Amino acid sequence: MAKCRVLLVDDEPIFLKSMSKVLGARDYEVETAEDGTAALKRMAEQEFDVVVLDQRMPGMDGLTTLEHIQRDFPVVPVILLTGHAEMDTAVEAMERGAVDYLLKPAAVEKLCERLHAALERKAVLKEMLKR
Amino acid sequence: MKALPLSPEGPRPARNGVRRAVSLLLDFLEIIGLHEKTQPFESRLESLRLRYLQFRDALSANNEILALITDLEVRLQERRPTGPTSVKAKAVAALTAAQRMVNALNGLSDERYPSLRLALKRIERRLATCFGGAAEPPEALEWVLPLSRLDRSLAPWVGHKMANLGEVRNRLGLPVPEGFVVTARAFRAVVDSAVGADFLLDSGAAAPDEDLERLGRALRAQLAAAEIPRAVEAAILDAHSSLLRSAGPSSRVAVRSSALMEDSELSFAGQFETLLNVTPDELLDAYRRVLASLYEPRGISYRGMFGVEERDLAVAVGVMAMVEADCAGVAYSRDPVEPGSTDVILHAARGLGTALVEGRVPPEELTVHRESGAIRRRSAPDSRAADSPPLLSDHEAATIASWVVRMEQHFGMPQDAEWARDREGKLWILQARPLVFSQPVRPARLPPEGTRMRLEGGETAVPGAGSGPVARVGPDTDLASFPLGAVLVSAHSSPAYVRALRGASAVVTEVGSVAGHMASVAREIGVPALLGVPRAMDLLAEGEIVTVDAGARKIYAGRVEEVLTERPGPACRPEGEGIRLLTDVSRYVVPLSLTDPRSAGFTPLACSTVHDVARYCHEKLFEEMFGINRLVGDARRQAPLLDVFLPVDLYVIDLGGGLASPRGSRRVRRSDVASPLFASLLDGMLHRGIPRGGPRALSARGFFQVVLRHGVTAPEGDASLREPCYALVSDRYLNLAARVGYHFSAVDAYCGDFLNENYISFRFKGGAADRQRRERRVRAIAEILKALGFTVRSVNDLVDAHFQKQPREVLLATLDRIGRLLQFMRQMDAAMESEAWVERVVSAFLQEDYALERGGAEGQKGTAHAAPPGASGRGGAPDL
Repeated sequence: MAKCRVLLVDDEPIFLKSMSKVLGARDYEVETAEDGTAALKRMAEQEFDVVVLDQRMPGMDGLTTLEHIQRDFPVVPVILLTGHAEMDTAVEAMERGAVDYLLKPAAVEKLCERLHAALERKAVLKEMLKR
Repeated sequence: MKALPLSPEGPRPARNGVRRAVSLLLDFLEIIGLHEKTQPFESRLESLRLRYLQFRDALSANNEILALITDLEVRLQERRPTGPTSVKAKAVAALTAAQRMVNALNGLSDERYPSLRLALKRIERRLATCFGGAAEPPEALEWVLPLSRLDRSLAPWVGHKMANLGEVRNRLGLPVPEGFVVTARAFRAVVDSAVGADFLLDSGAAAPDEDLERLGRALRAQLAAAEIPRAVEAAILDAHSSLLRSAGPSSRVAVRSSALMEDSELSFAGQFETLLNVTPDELLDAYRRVLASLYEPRGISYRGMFGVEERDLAVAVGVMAMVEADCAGVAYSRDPVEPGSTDVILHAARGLGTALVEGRVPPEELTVHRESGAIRRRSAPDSRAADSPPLLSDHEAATIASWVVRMEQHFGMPQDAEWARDREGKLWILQARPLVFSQPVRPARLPPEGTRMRLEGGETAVPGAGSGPVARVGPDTDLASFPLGAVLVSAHSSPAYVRALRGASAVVTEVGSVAGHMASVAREIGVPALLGVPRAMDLLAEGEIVTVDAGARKIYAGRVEEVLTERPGPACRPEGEGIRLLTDVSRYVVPLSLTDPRSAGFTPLACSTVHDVARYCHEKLFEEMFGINRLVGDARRQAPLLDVFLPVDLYVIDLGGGLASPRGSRRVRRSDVASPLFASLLDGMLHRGIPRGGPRALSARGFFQVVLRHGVTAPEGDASLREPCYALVSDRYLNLAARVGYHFSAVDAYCGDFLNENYISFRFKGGAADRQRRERRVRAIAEILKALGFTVRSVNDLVDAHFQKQPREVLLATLDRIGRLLQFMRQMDAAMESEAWVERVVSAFLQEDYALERGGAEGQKGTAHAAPPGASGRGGAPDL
């Protein structure tokens, strides 16, 4: 089975570094982007299986980035991972098609479980869209 | 955030790309289906698989909601200290999980339930009102704030300790040394930069003690060496220079924690480091050290004991001009041991006061009359020569007493203050927090004639009595292995002993006072404590059994039942903002009003809580999944019935690789089951040693009835008992679940390509029997699961068990056992008449004596249950 390719989007470089390490140790292939614009650029260059997205970022915020991803890459699942619990953002993100909205600190196990679910879903969607 | 426009028929959420794509595709498939009988087989399968994945996602969200509900219930029941941050996180988690369920249900039903979105929106708006929607004050965005700007409204950002001191200084006008606070926002910035992915902190939350210790050590090291973000560092240094300019000649400061939950619902007494006489060069290191002390083992234990979540922790740090104290102490506006008394209690000791609160020196104690300020009693510490002058003059004592009484009036609750007198004779308030009281304890009765007294004296810190073997502890004792139920005896009291306190039956120290940190913590936990008993370490032998009557200040030889009245309960604590929020939030999450799916009120718009939404979705998900047979073939076709000798109608829904039988079979046999997980479970359920319920027609009392328990005592008349149950199976996945009324049980298992994906979850909730039977049953199930290697958590009537990261063979063998357990529960339930049966049932299961044939006599093959003593004559109808 090929490795799951994750795109981590967060404006905090230290978070990106340590999160990459944690996920890398669990056999994920991780790429990072420090804002929404960079994320969309990376996605145009290569295919990702799942995107993990921060909400509060300078420039394009998580919700707006989510909207762009949904439009341009409709099969790629997006998980919001944010440090700030906001009820309206959570509901809005889920309404707009995020597969989950997790809060930092999130247990690594839980995140991996959600990544795995997102990956399976993407595989099926991709097959369906092929036809 | 703008709300989504809602049409009268229901919300029209902005459809995202995926949903649009899927929906178009499904529409397309349907259209094709209308015009042509033969759809491409693969399309149908993918669409089915997508639905299965959505279904699985909804099930996992449902589990999350059940766990959240239980957590909220327990926190409220036990009044567990909970901070606003984690309450909000729980509210968001509940909403998100409900939204996942709604999305999944609508996804797999082609948006058949739009009004569920409306119901959820309504719940969201109500939940949002719990948090007031008030904007954060500008202070919330600062890295540091001077004491002159603080008052108690800022506690969520600067901690109660500094907020209270600001209140005392700025609103009451009492003398408080100059200072500033480094805010919780700064803490989070430092932690983010030091530990990076802050989610790491949470990964140890459920870990055993040793892991926590290791994790704690790593986090301390990281924090102690943390790079403080430049903006934070500049703000601290800037505030420090202004403090030095205004504070006079001394260039030294005190650096102390002001954590968010500290000094409010919980005292956190002595759990954080306080650094005195800190020079300018040492300031940043001192700041880091206070932050790092958050992860000392004693602090981790303390938080674990009260169920405090890491999410609620943030350490603001106070930096205060150092008071060159020649005398310091504490002041209680009420007697902490006698809540009814009106006197003010003062403790004083020479020097800085740290030795006093850490329990290293005996204090001078004064009892001051509340109104007149007259000294009613003054007890000198033993070490002080009888002719030396008292530490505090009558006038000073009266002044401090009047201050602490004013503070009580201002804050509206009894106060526990720290004060100091500087070399010029000026008095200062250094700390103000709510006083923790011991719960009143019935006075102990007298011991019988001839009971041998071992020791006498000391001071009652927490009244009540406890008995056990003496365990002496010192600075080098390994507290993690403190024997449960022992009497902790030590030379000094120390907040580090918290780790042992939770298992101790009583505490005795040679030195220490009710003003100390350990006394505060003992009161919070409710451990009888007798402090200041001279030579206790010498006179009490390790391991000797004693009975400590802390209230009567006596220690007896042996176990003296007569004096062992009730142990004190945990202290009465003030209730914080968190508990109020928790109560509000629970109102929109926990209650379940949709109980009967057959009633007319079972509609999306009747959902007024997250639990309702989950309940509704769960019900409809099974209906919808049942309906997906439409996509498999004939629209009216039902899932195949499993043709096995079990007292239940068990239908199998194949999600891919689950069955080897031809598609469309109405009945499948055991041999048709291709899913290895389902096959193993079935083999367990069909185990020959387990008595079955007789022919199906005669008995609807299958194992499911027991597992689910329908809450009726006359099952024959209840249609719900013949409700079918479904097993969803694929080559690697099995979900066998059912829910009726309030009761729910599920086996969820996955066996994939990676070892760390493999798991079995077993969950059991509910049962309409009396509390005692339910409690016994939960205990027996939990014990059996533990013996099978599960990690088990049981809270109230929820058993939540996990088994993971095991190789395939082990996983399948364990599923076989779970199958047996599902069947065996029937015997178990009938047996739960008395306490003795708990152990009996557990050992019978483990010894494969499933018919409960004590002594291995010939079993009555085919009978529904064994009859334990006292079993009713209702023919074995389980009564859960």
